[in-house]
Amino acid sequence: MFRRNFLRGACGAAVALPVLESLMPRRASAGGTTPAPRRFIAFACCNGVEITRFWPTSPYGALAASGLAGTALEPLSGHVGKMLIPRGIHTVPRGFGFDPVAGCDHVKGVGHRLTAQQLDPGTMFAQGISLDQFIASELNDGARPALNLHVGYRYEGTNGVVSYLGANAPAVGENNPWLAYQDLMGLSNLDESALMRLTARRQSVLDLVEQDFARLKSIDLSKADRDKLDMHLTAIRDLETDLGDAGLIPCTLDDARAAEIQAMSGMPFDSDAQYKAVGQMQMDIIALAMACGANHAATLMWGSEAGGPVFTWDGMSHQYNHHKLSHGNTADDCSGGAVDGYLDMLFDIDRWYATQLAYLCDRLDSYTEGSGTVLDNCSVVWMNNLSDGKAHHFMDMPYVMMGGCGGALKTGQYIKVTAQDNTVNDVDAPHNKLLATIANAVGVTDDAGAPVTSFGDPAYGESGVFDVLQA
Amino acid sequence: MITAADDPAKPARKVRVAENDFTLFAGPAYPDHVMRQHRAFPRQASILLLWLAAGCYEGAGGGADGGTADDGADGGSGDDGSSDPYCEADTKPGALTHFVRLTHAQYDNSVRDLLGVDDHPSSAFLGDTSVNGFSNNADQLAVPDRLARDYRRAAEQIAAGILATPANLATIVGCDPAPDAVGCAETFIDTFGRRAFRRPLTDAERAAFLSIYQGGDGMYESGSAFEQGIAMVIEAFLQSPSFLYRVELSSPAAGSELVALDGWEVAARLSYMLWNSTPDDALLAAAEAGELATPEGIEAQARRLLADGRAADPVQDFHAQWLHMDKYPNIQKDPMVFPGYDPASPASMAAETMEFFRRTILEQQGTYADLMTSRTTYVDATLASIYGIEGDFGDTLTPVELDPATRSGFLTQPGFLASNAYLVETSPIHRGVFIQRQVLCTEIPDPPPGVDLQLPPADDTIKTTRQRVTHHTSPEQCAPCHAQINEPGFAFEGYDAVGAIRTLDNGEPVDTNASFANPDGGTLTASNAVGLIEQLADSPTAQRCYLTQWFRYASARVETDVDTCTLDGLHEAMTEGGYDVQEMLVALTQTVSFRYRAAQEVE
Repeated sequence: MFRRNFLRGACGAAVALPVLESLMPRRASAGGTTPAPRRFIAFACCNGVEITRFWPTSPYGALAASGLAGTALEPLSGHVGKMLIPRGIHTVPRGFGFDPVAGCDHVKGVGHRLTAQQLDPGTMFAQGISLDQFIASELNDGARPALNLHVGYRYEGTNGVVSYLGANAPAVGENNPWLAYQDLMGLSNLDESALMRLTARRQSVLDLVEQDFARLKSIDLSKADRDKLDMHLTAIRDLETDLGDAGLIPCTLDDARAAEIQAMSGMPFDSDAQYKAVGQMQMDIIALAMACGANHAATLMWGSEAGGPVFTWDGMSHQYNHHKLSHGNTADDCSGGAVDGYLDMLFDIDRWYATQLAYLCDRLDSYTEGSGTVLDNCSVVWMNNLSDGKAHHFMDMPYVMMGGCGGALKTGQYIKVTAQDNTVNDVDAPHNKLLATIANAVGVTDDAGAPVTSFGDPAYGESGVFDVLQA
Repeated sequence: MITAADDPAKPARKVRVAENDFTLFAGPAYPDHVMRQHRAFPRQASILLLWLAAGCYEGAGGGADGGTADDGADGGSGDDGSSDPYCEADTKPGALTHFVRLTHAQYDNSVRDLLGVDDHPSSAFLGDTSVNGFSNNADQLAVPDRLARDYRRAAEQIAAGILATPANLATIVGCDPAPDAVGCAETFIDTFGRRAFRRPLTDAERAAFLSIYQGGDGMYESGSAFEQGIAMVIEAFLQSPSFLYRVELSSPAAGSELVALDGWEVAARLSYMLWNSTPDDALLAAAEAGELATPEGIEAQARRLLADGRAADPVQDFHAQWLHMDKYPNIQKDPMVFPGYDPASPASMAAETMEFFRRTILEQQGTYADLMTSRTTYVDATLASIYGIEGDFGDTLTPVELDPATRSGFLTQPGFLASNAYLVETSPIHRGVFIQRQVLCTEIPDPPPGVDLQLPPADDTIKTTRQRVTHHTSPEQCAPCHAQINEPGFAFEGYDAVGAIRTLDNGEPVDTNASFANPDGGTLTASNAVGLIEQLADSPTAQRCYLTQWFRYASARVETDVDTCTLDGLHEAMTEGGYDVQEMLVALTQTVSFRYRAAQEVE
């Protein structure tokens, strides 16, 4: 379980040299013929979309910018060559009232999305690991968890969590970009002497804390108590590997951008007006983390289920939050009046998110890697909990994939993955096959080195992958 | 109409919205066209059947007469000093972890009481989830995910802050390092360690912290060698599991299923239950002197703690969670319908209710009935206008006497009424569900999947909210539960969505009569909310429910079958004493469940 390389040693100067050595960027390892790492980024939105104006207008096959004109995806036109749109996917376990599993559509949509596991009826948390954390546990050094960021009010309930470290172990996204950035860059912004001091101090404290844990664990304990201590101890040890500079470039942004992010320090998200600025900071951090080799997987969750901001920027002047608009109602419980023109408002929101996704793609494209860019070695997947938000639809889910994942996935294609004529079906394209497809694309293998054949709860969905998406 | 940020997630930054609430507020309803589209996959009939089978009546009652365990029990109690004054049977506590992590509030309060740092460091922590309505459930309190980072960050910041203010540091240390720096550091480690770990340090710990102190010089940018050493010691204490958890390691006597807690462990239970914070020196001294080995010694300390201002913290926290006050910041009303409504009202509503519980329980030695029926409350100008009280009120809360014909206790305070109502309309269903679930501990299932939560619009025959609710819930699948939910909710129809008194609803006179199955037997009939509340104030089921909720909160766990006997006994004793809330809190510290733990099944 503990595969960490710790910074060991006594306090003081004696430890300085090995500490610094271990903190040195491993830039050399990325040169030469070593293939670039392949990564997964979940771009997770809530409350569904205006589905009638979401999809390309062109037939299945090669995608061109013209096919996106007038749709929600139009802002991604500049990246159409790196785009892959799978059509006809449905979520498993299926929506409220279909599969006999716990939860309403919002909690199911968010809980099933990256796990394909049913929810624990007691806690309403998913009963298994999510794809981002699975990839991280398989590919990251020391099984370091996936980078998990959030835009919006901090919300630890089921509706605010899309990432899971395991059954009933929700990973709440960090919504403060400064804390996220500090975690990422670790100690790499400190001068040498400060770095030495802090590292040695932390090491001494860790040694002492581990002694306390050892004493507590030395007595006869129940499994639950032992697990509780182990969870804490693992979390502490994870901290020791949260040091940046693991890869190709330093895990730092330029000073001006870092200063802007620092300006958010001590100012937790408390206003919708911060939504766009915070979102773009989080995307800068994710792109940096991918580029500097700090992580193989990241999740960015926008807003929360059955909530979301009131959009009053970039040409939008809405009066109601995203969830209310998704139902075309002035109240979250649909007890209010109708909102005139709500479909146009939803369309604007979808286009706004497409614009943000284009921003993330631009950021990833800004880092060259080998003969391409970091985006070429990623699969960035825009996903939602619902398709038609008003109907709480779990079929014909809006997935948009960006980047070819190092050549593992097709690009520039619009592909129907269901064999049915009507894409609104729940017959043959469960989303857990997409999750398995991505796991293979980033290079996760089973214990025998063979491709991953299934993801999620085998009682729902199907094994296998979507071959048609593979390059 | 609403332009403020109205994300339902907003108040959950600190306190999570209970899932049950979500289900009630936003349970989805598939539009017909979706259902038609998917005939091949009809909604699982089994879900509905399961729900119907759950029934409303079988789960009801929450155990007013759960049956005492003393019939036929032959266990010898009392022979080992483990007799429970409230349970004659051979009783043992429900299972509890050895490691009860501090709640975030307890962390903040402990840091405040230990170091004088009072800036709520936990506001940046990963939040906790609640179980059975309380966020302090010991099983859920773990250190997952990012919380370890949050603890480290807080410890480093607190230590750096103390280092930056040498005067503070000198106060915290309490001895003069000039003659003998190491000796002073040793004294500090001993005294501070005892307070932070709530027990004396072991020799090994003493040596380890001294080593941390000695390695501290040069570990910070500034400060003397002594100061840096002390800062590093503080940093280490605040990240130690013995600080972050209430550790209970006492081992069972051979062959016994009961584990007597030692005095230090009892002291921590007492202070975290009654102060939500760390023990003070007097309590630790009592532990050291062996005074907490007897119920009398515990009682004396419990009474001392309750007389201290710090007791307000858990009293207010308990009621805030019980009343789902995490919903209050989300209270919104339609300004077109309520033009005089101040959008800042929810803060006043919360302040009123918190002040009410603190004063009624801690200053006025109130009973459960007082909470339900006191006509004294505390209002500012905003609340005075909702109550319709004439007079000169400002921003501060001022005691007032309310009209006994129209107001009674916390259930007629605007916070409860407005948080269980919609933008424009009242919600008898939410108000009624609260009475059943929270006040009477009735197990009311959530509405079944796919139920349409929209009330029919008013028309010529169905005009009032009461009529619309009645009509909407009249189908036979709905009626059994809603007979129990709607009626107590209807009693509150004399208060509008803001909590002001009203006599008309949609132009029709309001009907506040209520009649439903009395969990204490027979039928409970009331002509309005005041009449209903006065009966609930004397209801044994309601009183025992209040006791049960406190038991959960105070024990950091959900009650199990083995606790029934103790709860029955406590209930009986409290009934005789008039359900004085402070006496109830003292009584909770006298049980076997409080003074002992159950031997654990080990791996």
